[in-house]
Amino acid sequence: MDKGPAVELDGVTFSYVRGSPILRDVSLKIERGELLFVIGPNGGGKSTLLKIFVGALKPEKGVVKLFGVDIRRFRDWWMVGYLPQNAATLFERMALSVEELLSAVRVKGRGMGLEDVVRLVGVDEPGELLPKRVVDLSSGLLQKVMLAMSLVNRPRLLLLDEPTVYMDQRGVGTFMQVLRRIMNEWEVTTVIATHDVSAISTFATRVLCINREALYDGSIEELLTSEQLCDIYGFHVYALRHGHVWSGQ
Amino acid sequence: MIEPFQQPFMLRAFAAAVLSGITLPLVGSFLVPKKLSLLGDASSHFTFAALAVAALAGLGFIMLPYAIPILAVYGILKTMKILKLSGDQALAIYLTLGAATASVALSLGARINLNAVLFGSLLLVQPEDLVASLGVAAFVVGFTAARFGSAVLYVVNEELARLKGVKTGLYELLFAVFAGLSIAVGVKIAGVLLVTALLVIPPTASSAIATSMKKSLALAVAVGLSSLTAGTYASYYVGLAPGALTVIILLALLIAVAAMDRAGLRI
Repeated sequence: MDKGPAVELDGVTFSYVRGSPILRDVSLKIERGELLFVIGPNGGGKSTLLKIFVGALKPEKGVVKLFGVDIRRFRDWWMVGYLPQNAATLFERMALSVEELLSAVRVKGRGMGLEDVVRLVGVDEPGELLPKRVVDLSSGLLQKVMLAMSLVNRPRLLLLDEPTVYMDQRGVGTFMQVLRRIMNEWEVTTVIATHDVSAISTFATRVLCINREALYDGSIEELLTSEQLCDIYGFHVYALRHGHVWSGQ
Repeated sequence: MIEPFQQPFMLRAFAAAVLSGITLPLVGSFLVPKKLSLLGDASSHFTFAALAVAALAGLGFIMLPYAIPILAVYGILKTMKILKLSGDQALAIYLTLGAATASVALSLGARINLNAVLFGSLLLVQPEDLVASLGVAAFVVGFTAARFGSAVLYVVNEELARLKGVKTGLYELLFAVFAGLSIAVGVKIAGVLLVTALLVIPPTASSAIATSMKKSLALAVAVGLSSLTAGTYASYYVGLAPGALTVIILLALLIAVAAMDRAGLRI
């Protein structure tokens, strides 16, 4: 378990519909402790990539390794924390409380105390939050609960699918601060999938652009000054850079 | 007051009402958030088809009406995945397929008591149905108690469930068996057309006012159990179908809960 990068993909191809792959020949390595942003248009394969990382989707070609172990033999799933997309829609028509949700995800004997993990993501009054129903939470608070859920087992690999959707720029800032602090304390490898380039441009170090294929893998600065964003998104990109509205041209 | 209980058929009907009153709302509490509310309708129409085909072929055995809804539920879940259909699309296909098969069997001369099958009857419940429903109720209650967290994750998000070590394929199969069997049993007392009400209305009402999933499950069972037993009891006296009476009671409870919800009352 102590060998190899956190995630390693070699020539991974995946299709939902036969003959029309949503991911084609994707290879990448994510080193331990690294923060990687996966960007790209909707339907470009970001969520699919994360679902391959959690083993929910099996690639038709290629090899996936987590912490040096082939994913088909990987068993320590507590090491992976996952925040699914569209959190708000997952709990509709359900009276599930925050406490019940976190307990359901927590692995007994390994996970953190519920109050501790809620405090960790920046909630001051855990005692008030835990008995609340998930459906009654504001979107900001819901995303905090979802982050707490992905952290409750003290994972080594954190996979966040659109965690900042519905957040304003300030909310994103607070969210990223919390995440940075946790990454520093725990040395957790983090992968964030997002379509919102402007929200992340000030936080990203390494960025992977994906639109069926891995089109770019490198620093955000180079990406924003290149023409590649246009290729990836078409001509609808407005990225915020150094406080200025900036359009990729 | 105790007169109905002196009749063997009423004792059987009551026992079925108690067991289905527990099982159907419990299963429904996981179906509704998984957005499969009409699963009961789709698979009960398969039960309808099975009963009609069995009558047409002169088959006396009881296995078919149990096996068919299980296959239907499993088929619905698999069809959704393979053809990437939404729940309502898959359910509409299966519902009409079941109804069409039943219609063909009836046209070809299958003789069944349509009124009893469609709207439920006090007379349909046989001792073997009670054995089956007791088994299903014990399994569903035991499973929900022992695997509450995993069952919740399976409903919320299958990736999260997998990370917790839940074998989602096995859960899908168990889900189909539990839902299919509880529907097969429920159809006898509540009827093909009305069994869905017991799957859907109790969890809909309880999740509106309960402050946790566990309370919601308990409340759904209380609502289902009380309305189905009351409907069955009343059916003996007024001579109306137990399914229909139960739905009327359920709707009254739903309106009461909606009023509580509006008044901000929580349990």
